[in-house]
Amino acid sequence: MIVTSGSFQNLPSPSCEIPAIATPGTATSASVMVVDDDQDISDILSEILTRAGHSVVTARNGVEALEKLKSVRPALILLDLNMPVMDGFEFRRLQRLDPAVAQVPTVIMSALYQMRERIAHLGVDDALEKPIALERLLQVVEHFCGSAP
Amino acid sequence: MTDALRVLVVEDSATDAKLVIRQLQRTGRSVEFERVETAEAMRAALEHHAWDVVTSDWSMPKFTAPAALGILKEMRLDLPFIIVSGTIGEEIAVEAMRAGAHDFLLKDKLGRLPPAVERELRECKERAARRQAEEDLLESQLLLRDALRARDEFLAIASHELKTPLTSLSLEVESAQRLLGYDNHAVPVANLAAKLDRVSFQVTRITALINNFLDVTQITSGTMVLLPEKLDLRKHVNGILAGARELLARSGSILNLRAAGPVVGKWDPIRLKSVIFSLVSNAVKYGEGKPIEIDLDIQADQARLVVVDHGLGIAVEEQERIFRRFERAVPQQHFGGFGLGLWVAHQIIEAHRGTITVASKPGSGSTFTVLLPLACEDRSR
Repeated sequence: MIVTSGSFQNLPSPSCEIPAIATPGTATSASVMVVDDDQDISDILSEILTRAGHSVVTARNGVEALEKLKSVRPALILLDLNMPVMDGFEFRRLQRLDPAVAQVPTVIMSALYQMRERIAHLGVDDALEKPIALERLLQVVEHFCGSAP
Repeated sequence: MTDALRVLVVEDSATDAKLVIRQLQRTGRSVEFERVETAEAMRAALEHHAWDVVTSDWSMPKFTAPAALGILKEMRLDLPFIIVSGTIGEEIAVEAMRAGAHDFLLKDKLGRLPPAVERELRECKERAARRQAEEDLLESQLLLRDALRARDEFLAIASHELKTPLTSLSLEVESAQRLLGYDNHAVPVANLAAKLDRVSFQVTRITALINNFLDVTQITSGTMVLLPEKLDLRKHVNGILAGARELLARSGSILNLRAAGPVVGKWDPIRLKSVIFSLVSNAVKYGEGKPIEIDLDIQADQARLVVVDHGLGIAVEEQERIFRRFERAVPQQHFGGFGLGLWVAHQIIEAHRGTITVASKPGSGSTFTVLLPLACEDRSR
């Protein structure tokens, strides 16, 4: 589950310091931000996560995601890498520079060849390789957001 | 090599040089020559003129044959180098040949010079041919290496592109399985039917991608053949749009085709379908659900197809890049999400002797313009 042992250890545990975020294990639904330019992927992820009891916010690229993060504080960001306007690499860079959102757990979703090597420097909390297995998706979301009611 | 034999004579004695030249002129060839007796003069002569052969005295007041050979080597010139000396003992001769002289002869036996020069010229030519062959081999090895690298990159991009619709497909299927697994009586049929629709849509996407990849391999291997036939582009576009209904419905974009009349020409219908589909899916993908317009008309002897969206637009640096293939200069993770479709479109339009261009402003959409000569001859590539 850990991408790079270093990055994971350096980050706070999922029981986050950010007050707006639900702690794991609680029954409250926490919001997930899905950042992906592919409408179909965004749709099905929203459907699955909503059915699992989470509230979902979507963004189609890094710019939209940063904009929405001004008003929404999700418990988890699911981040695609290859997107127009602003890709996931740049989003992650800017996210880490902004203390307000730097600590929001972020999980990469990508089909990038040799993804794990390529994202090692992003210091993310986990990575889901596309095509994403449903079981693993739900495990990851539950880990960061707690199980839904 | 010109008709005249160009001889650089390294010799301190003008008389001896003349003897050498006279000997060479006896063969009936015209001879151009220059006499040098120092390293600097030799360098200058080699730098400023082309030479066929160098003859050199063994030892001169300010220069020697081995030093002259050294200059040839240093300047990487492969020229026949023949030592012409008044005094050359066996040991010196061996030393000279070891240093790279091609032949040596005594000044009192200059009659041997012309055949020696001819032989050396022949051998020099052969050496040059061999070198050329080696260079050609190296070049083709480099080309092959580049081709293999491009293929690897293509495979990486192709699998990346396939995994996008595969992700939706597998999540749809798995979530349907999960729904059925929980309590299959509680799953509304309409719900499953909608899921199956989406599954089938992803299958269409995957099929289109695979066709696109096949186009790419045909283009890169030079085996793409156009099969032009008489075609009404308006009808053709309408047919393609009917097939893209699902795509359009899901995007929320309304597509408006404006064509005053039939646009008839001779083109490859399957290839053009791939182009039009790429342009439409691109407009849908980046159109942000806003209206998309397609204008189709004839201008002079060209068909003009314009696809306009009002969505995200394309950054200037990306506009240049989108028709180009995955290139090494662009890191793989940054191929912009445009994939291979527009590159394939560009290749197909070029094969039809047409042009495809884009005008775009980030934030206000993109306009793709295709110009196609009405009659396209088969220009298989």
